[in-house]
Amino acid sequence: MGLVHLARDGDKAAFAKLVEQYQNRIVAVAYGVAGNRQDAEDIAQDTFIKAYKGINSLQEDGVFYRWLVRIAVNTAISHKQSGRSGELIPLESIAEPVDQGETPEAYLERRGEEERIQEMLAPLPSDSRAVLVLREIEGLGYEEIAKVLEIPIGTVRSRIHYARDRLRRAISLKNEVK
Amino acid sequence: MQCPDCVKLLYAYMDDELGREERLLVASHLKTCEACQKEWHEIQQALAAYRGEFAAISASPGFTGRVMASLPEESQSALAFLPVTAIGLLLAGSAVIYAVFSPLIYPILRLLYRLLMSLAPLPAMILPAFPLLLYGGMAVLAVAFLILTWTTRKVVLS
Repeated sequence: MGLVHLARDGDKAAFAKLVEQYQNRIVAVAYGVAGNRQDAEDIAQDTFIKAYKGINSLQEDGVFYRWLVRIAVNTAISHKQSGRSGELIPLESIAEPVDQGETPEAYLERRGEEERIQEMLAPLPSDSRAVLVLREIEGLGYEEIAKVLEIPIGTVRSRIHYARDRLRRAISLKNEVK
Repeated sequence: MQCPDCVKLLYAYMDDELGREERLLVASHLKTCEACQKEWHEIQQALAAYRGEFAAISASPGFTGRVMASLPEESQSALAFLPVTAIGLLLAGSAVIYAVFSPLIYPILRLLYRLLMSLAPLPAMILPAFPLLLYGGMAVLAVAFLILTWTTRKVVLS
């Protein structure tokens, strides 16, 4: 019997395995939309809680991941729209613990990378970010993205083009400044 | 193929979304046009940088534990059996009410029947003459109750 089936029957251990299995991908998707690590973790956590509450409504085990991604994207978009985004908090004021085994230099480097991606993503609206992360990071095709986000394929195409254009311009500008 | 046409198709070319003919046209134009090659490399570079930024993104240690600690306590299986529980409770409750309160209920029912007779004499006279209609109506009400229970369960779980 599959993990999704067991989780639907109320098996918490099976649900924990699903969280373990998909957590990195969901955090990445949330990060792609939210643009910062702390919000991404909060969104991913909310996503799994919503999934647990609603897993009985899932008719087919095979669509679990697609369903989970849809929850993550919608949660991330409403998180940003509600103004709860951590982007409003100055980075210096967030005391973030250094991961286990991470040197201070590695931590600073990681923070630098995160700030860079935040800058790159800043001009993009949430719905374009969602489409971009599903295409470039999750590797989903246009049709699959349209199904996940429940939008027409033409909208997927135009959002991907828009997001890539903005990203390309942002990186070209950055390179010119260097 | 002209450069503006080629540039327009670069993303679709990259995603393998073009038909055979268009794909070949873009490929052969890219081989010979330096300006479009530059565009192509810029796109690849931007997307590589974007993907690279995600390499370090993963859930922090203890993420699963935090999620599991935040899950609501109520039992999913108890909710899943809500309609069955409701039917059981309904039957048991009816039996108890009938056994204990029938001497009280009978006068109330008589009173209600008289009220119905005065408010709507025709159905009140017709219904007792057609037991099938009476019990059918009760069955419809019972089904409506079950549908309501099921819908409530769906709403609670959504």
